[in-house]
Amino acid sequence: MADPLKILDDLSARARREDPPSIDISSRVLLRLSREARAPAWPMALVASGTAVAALVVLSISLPLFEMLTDPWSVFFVMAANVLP
Amino acid sequence: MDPAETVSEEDQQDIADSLSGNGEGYARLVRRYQDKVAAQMWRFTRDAVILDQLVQDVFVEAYLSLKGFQGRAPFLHWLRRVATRVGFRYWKSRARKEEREEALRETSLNLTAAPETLTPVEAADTLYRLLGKLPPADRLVLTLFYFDQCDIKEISARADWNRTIVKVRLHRARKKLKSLFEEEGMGRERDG
Repeated sequence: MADPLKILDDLSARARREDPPSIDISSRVLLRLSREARAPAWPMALVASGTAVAALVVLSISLPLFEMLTDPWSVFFVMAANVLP
Repeated sequence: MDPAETVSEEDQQDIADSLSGNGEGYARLVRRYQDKVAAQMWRFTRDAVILDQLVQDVFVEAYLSLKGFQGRAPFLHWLRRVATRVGFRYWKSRARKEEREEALRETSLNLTAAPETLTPVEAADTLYRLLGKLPPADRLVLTLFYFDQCDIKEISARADWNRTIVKVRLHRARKKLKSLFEEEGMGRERDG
Protein backbone atom coordinates (compact mmCIF):
# COMPACT_ATOMS: atom_id res chain seq x y z
CA MET A 1 0.00 0.00 0.00
CA ALA A 2 1.38 3.40 -1.01
CA ASP A 3 1.62 6.06 1.68
CA PRO A 4 -1.71 7.97 1.55
CA LEU A 5 -0.06 11.14 2.81
CA LYS A 6 2.54 10.96 0.06
CA ILE A 7 -0.26 10.55 -2.51
CA LEU A 8 -2.07 13.49 -0.93
CA ASP A 9 1.09 15.57 -1.07
CA ASP A 10 1.74 14.69 -4.73
CA LEU A 11 -1.86 15.30 -5.74
CA SER A 12 -1.86 18.68 -3.97
CA ALA A 13 1.36 19.75 -5.65
CA ARG A 14 -0.09 18.81 -9.03
CA ALA A 15 -3.48 20.40 -8.31
CA ARG A 16 -1.91 23.71 -7.30
CA ARG A 17 -0.82 24.19 -10.91
CA GLU A 18 -4.43 24.36 -12.04
CA ASP A 19 -5.66 27.75 -13.24
CA PRO A 20 -8.83 28.54 -11.31
CA PRO A 21 -11.76 30.10 -13.20
CA SER A 22 -11.61 33.85 -13.60
CA ILE A 23 -14.69 35.72 -12.45
CA ASP A 24 -16.02 39.27 -12.25
CA ILE A 25 -18.58 39.68 -9.51
CA SER A 26 -18.09 43.27 -8.30
CA SER A 27 -21.38 44.57 -9.77
CA ARG A 28 -23.35 41.59 -8.41
CA VAL A 29 -21.83 42.04 -4.94
CA LEU A 30 -22.87 45.69 -4.90
CA LEU A 31 -26.35 44.73 -6.08
CA ARG A 32 -26.69 42.16 -3.29
CA LEU A 33 -25.42 44.65 -0.71
CA SER A 34 -27.92 47.27 -1.84
CA ARG A 35 -30.70 44.66 -1.59
CA GLU A 36 -29.57 43.63 1.87
CA ALA A 37 -29.45 47.26 2.95
CA ARG A 38 -33.12 47.56 2.00
CA ALA A 39 -34.04 44.17 3.40
CA PRO A 40 -34.24 44.91 7.16
CA ALA A 41 -37.47 46.94 6.68
CA TRP A 42 -39.36 43.78 5.68
CA PRO A 43 -38.92 41.62 8.79
CA MET A 44 -39.63 44.60 11.04
CA ALA A 45 -42.83 45.39 9.13
CA LEU A 46 -43.90 41.75 9.29
CA VAL A 47 -43.28 41.55 13.04
CA ALA A 48 -45.14 44.82 13.62
CA SER A 49 -48.17 43.80 11.56
CA GLY A 50 -48.19 40.33 13.17
CA THR A 51 -48.18 41.87 16.64
CA ALA A 52 -51.00 44.24 15.68
CA VAL A 53 -53.15 41.39 14.34
CA ALA A 54 -52.49 39.29 17.47
CA ALA A 55 -53.46 42.24 19.70
CA LEU A 56 -56.71 42.73 17.75
CA VAL A 57 -57.60 39.05 18.09
CA VAL A 58 -56.98 39.12 21.86
CA LEU A 59 -59.05 42.27 22.26
CA SER A 60 -61.92 40.96 20.13
CA ILE A 61 -62.14 37.87 22.37
CA SER A 62 -61.52 39.44 25.76
CA LEU A 63 -63.68 42.55 25.44
CA PRO A 64 -67.02 40.74 24.79
CA LEU A 65 -66.13 38.28 27.54
CA PHE A 66 -65.42 41.11 29.96
CA GLU A 67 -68.67 42.84 28.98
CA MET A 68 -70.63 39.64 29.41
CA LEU A 69 -69.24 39.05 32.89
CA THR A 70 -69.84 42.59 34.04
CA ASP A 71 -73.31 42.82 32.52
CA PRO A 72 -75.87 42.75 35.49
CA TRP A 73 -78.19 40.25 33.80
CA SER A 74 -75.30 37.98 33.05
CA VAL A 75 -74.18 38.16 36.67
CA PHE A 76 -77.74 37.39 37.80
CA PHE A 77 -78.03 34.34 35.57
CA VAL A 78 -74.62 33.09 36.58
CA MET A 79 -75.54 33.41 40.27
CA ALA A 80 -78.93 31.82 39.69
CA ALA A 81 -77.32 28.91 37.95
CA ASN A 82 -75.08 28.43 40.97
CA VAL A 83 -77.94 28.63 43.48
CA LEU A 84 -80.49 26.43 41.65
CA PRO A 85 -80.12 22.68 42.18
CA MET B 1 6.94 46.47 10.54
CA ASP B 2 7.27 44.47 7.31
CA PRO B 3 5.19 46.22 4.57
CA ALA B 4 3.92 42.79 3.50
CA GLU B 5 2.38 42.45 6.96
CA THR B 6 0.45 45.71 6.91
CA VAL B 7 -2.55 47.05 5.05
CA SER B 8 -1.56 48.76 1.81
CA GLU B 9 -2.41 52.43 1.40
CA GLU B 10 -4.84 51.82 -1.45
CA ASP B 11 -6.64 49.17 0.62
CA GLN B 12 -6.81 51.54 3.57
CA GLN B 13 -8.32 54.22 1.36
CA ASP B 14 -10.84 51.85 -0.21
CA ILE B 15 -11.83 50.43 3.17
CA ALA B 16 -12.37 53.94 4.52
CA ASP B 17 -14.44 54.80 1.42
CA SER B 18 -16.48 51.60 1.82
CA LEU B 19 -17.18 52.33 5.48
CA SER B 20 -18.36 55.81 4.60
CA GLY B 21 -20.88 54.28 2.18
CA ASN B 22 -19.00 54.74 -1.07
CA GLY B 23 -19.89 51.65 -3.14
CA GLU B 24 -17.15 52.31 -5.68
CA GLY B 25 -14.53 51.97 -2.93
CA TYR B 26 -15.78 48.50 -2.12
CA ALA B 27 -16.08 47.61 -5.83
CA ARG B 28 -12.37 48.39 -6.17
CA LEU B 29 -11.57 46.04 -3.29
CA VAL B 30 -13.71 43.31 -4.86
CA ARG B 31 -12.04 43.71 -8.25
CA ARG B 32 -8.60 43.67 -6.63
CA TYR B 33 -9.11 40.44 -4.71
CA GLN B 34 -11.87 38.49 -6.48
CA ASP B 35 -9.48 36.25 -8.42
CA LYS B 36 -7.47 35.38 -5.31
CA VAL B 37 -10.64 34.61 -3.39
CA ALA B 38 -11.99 32.60 -6.36
CA ALA B 39 -8.79 30.54 -6.39
CA GLN B 40 -9.26 29.83 -2.70
CA MET B 41 -12.96 28.99 -3.05
CA TRP B 42 -12.16 26.65 -5.94
CA ARG B 43 -10.93 24.27 -3.22
CA PHE B 44 -14.44 24.23 -1.77
CA THR B 45 -16.34 23.46 -4.96
CA ARG B 46 -15.67 22.26 -8.50
CA ASP B 47 -18.84 23.84 -9.86
CA ALA B 48 -18.36 27.23 -11.55
CA VAL B 49 -21.90 28.39 -10.69
CA ILE B 50 -21.46 27.57 -7.00
CA LEU B 51 -18.00 29.14 -7.08
CA ASP B 52 -19.49 32.40 -8.29
CA GLN B 53 -22.07 32.30 -5.51
CA LEU B 54 -19.49 31.48 -2.83
CA VAL B 55 -17.18 34.31 -3.88
CA GLN B 56 -20.12 36.70 -3.74
CA ASP B 57 -20.97 35.36 -0.27
CA VAL B 58 -17.40 36.03 0.86
CA PHE B 59 -17.48 39.66 -0.26
CA VAL B 60 -20.97 40.28 1.12
CA GLU B 61 -19.98 38.78 4.49
CA ALA B 62 -16.71 40.72 4.44
CA TYR B 63 -18.55 43.97 3.81
CA LEU B 64 -21.01 43.32 6.62
CA SER B 65 -18.16 42.75 9.09
CA LEU B 66 -15.79 45.33 7.64
CA LYS B 67 -16.13 47.49 10.75
CA GLY B 68 -14.47 44.66 12.67
CA PHE B 69 -11.37 44.72 10.45
CA GLN B 70 -8.64 46.06 12.71
CA GLY B 71 -5.96 46.53 10.06
CA ARG B 72 -3.24 44.66 11.96
CA ALA B 73 -2.60 42.38 8.95
CA PRO B 74 -3.09 42.78 5.18
CA PHE B 75 -6.68 42.92 4.01
CA LEU B 76 -6.21 39.71 1.98
CA HIS B 77 -5.30 37.75 5.15
CA TRP B 78 -8.54 38.85 6.76
CA LEU B 79 -10.46 38.11 3.56
CA ARG B 80 -9.02 34.59 3.49
CA ARG B 81 -10.37 33.99 6.99
CA VAL B 82 -13.83 35.11 5.88
CA ALA B 83 -13.49 32.89 2.79
CA THR B 84 -12.53 29.86 4.90
CA ARG B 85 -15.56 30.45 7.12
CA VAL B 86 -17.88 30.69 4.10
CA GLY B 87 -16.38 27.60 2.46
CA PHE B 88 -16.50 25.54 5.64
CA ARG B 89 -20.13 26.53 6.20
CA TYR B 90 -20.91 25.46 2.65
CA TRP B 91 -19.34 22.03 3.22
CA LYS B 92 -21.23 21.62 6.49
CA SER B 93 -24.55 22.51 4.86
CA ARG B 94 -23.85 20.01 2.09
CA ALA B 95 -22.99 17.35 4.65
CA ARG B 96 -26.22 18.08 6.48
CA LYS B 97 -28.18 17.57 3.29
CA GLU B 98 -26.43 14.23 2.92
CA GLU B 99 -25.16 15.19 -0.48
CA ARG B 100 -21.77 14.01 0.64
CA GLU B 101 -23.15 10.50 1.11
CA GLU B 102 -24.82 10.65 -2.30
CA ALA B 103 -21.54 11.68 -3.85
CA LEU B 104 -19.92 8.73 -2.12
CA ARG B 105 -22.33 6.33 -3.73
CA GLU B 106 -21.98 7.90 -7.13
CA THR B 107 -18.23 8.18 -7.38
CA SER B 108 -15.50 5.68 -7.00
CA LEU B 109 -11.98 6.93 -6.87
CA ASN B 110 -9.29 5.48 -8.98
CA LEU B 111 -5.91 6.36 -7.59
CA THR B 112 -4.03 3.77 -9.57
CA ALA B 113 -2.58 6.52 -11.78
CA ALA B 114 0.47 8.23 -10.33
CA PRO B 115 -0.32 11.89 -9.47
CA GLU B 116 2.50 13.11 -11.71
CA THR B 117 0.80 11.57 -14.73
CA LEU B 118 -2.43 13.50 -14.09
CA THR B 119 -3.14 16.93 -15.51
CA PRO B 120 -3.52 19.66 -12.86
CA VAL B 121 -7.31 19.66 -13.43
CA GLU B 122 -7.51 15.87 -13.01
CA ALA B 123 -5.34 16.06 -9.90
CA ALA B 124 -7.53 18.82 -8.42
CA ASP B 125 -10.70 16.83 -9.22
CA THR B 126 -9.29 13.68 -7.66
CA LEU B 127 -8.12 15.55 -4.59
CA TYR B 128 -11.52 17.21 -4.22
CA ARG B 129 -13.38 13.90 -4.41
CA LEU B 130 -10.88 12.13 -2.17
CA LEU B 131 -11.13 14.70 0.62
CA GLY B 132 -14.89 14.89 0.05
CA LYS B 133 -15.12 11.43 1.59
CA LEU B 134 -14.14 12.90 4.96
CA PRO B 135 -16.23 14.96 7.39
CA PRO B 136 -16.03 18.77 6.81
CA ALA B 137 -13.60 19.56 9.66
CA ASP B 138 -11.13 16.85 8.56
CA ARG B 139 -11.52 17.92 4.98
CA LEU B 140 -10.83 21.54 5.85
CA VAL B 141 -7.71 20.87 7.89
CA LEU B 142 -6.21 18.62 5.19
CA THR B 143 -7.13 21.06 2.41
CA LEU B 144 -5.49 23.95 4.24
CA PHE B 145 -2.40 21.94 5.20
CA TYR B 146 -1.71 20.07 1.96
CA PHE B 147 -3.44 22.03 -0.78
CA ASP B 148 -2.95 25.59 0.51
CA GLN B 149 0.31 24.73 2.31
CA CYS B 150 -0.71 26.58 5.47
CA ASP B 151 1.20 25.92 8.70
CA ILE B 152 -0.53 25.30 12.03
CA LYS B 153 -0.55 29.01 12.90
CA GLU B 154 -2.13 29.96 9.58
CA ILE B 155 -4.75 27.18 9.79
CA SER B 156 -5.56 28.33 13.30
CA ALA B 157 -6.08 31.89 12.06
CA ARG B 158 -8.09 30.96 8.99
CA ALA B 159 -10.35 28.39 10.59
CA ASP B 160 -10.60 30.20 13.93
CA TRP B 161 -9.59 27.08 15.86
CA ASN B 162 -6.89 27.18 18.53
CA ARG B 163 -3.56 25.57 17.64
CA THR B 164 -4.05 22.52 19.85
CA ILE B 165 -7.35 21.79 18.14
CA VAL B 166 -5.69 22.19 14.74
CA LYS B 167 -2.96 19.69 15.66
CA VAL B 168 -5.46 17.18 17.01
CA ARG B 169 -7.73 17.55 13.98
CA LEU B 170 -4.81 17.20 11.59
CA HIS B 171 -3.66 14.03 13.34
CA ARG B 172 -7.15 12.53 13.31
CA ALA B 173 -7.80 13.54 9.70
CA ARG B 174 -4.58 11.84 8.57
CA LYS B 175 -5.59 8.69 10.42
CA LYS B 176 -9.03 8.74 8.82
CA LEU B 177 -7.49 9.22 5.41
CA LYS B 178 -5.22 6.23 5.95
CA SER B 179 -8.20 4.12 7.03
CA LEU B 180 -10.08 5.27 3.95
CA PHE B 181 -7.24 4.15 1.74
CA GLU B 182 -7.13 0.77 3.48
CA GLU B 183 -10.91 0.28 3.27
CA GLU B 184 -11.05 1.04 -0.41
CA GLY B 185 -7.72 -0.53 -1.28
CA MET B 186 -6.65 2.69 -2.92
CA GLY B 187 -3.07 3.01 -4.09
CA ARG B 188 -2.55 -0.75 -3.83
CA GLU B 189 -2.16 -1.29 -7.56
CA ARG B 190 0.56 1.35 -7.72
CA ASP B 191 2.75 -0.75 -5.46
CA GLY B 192 2.32 -3.93 -7.36
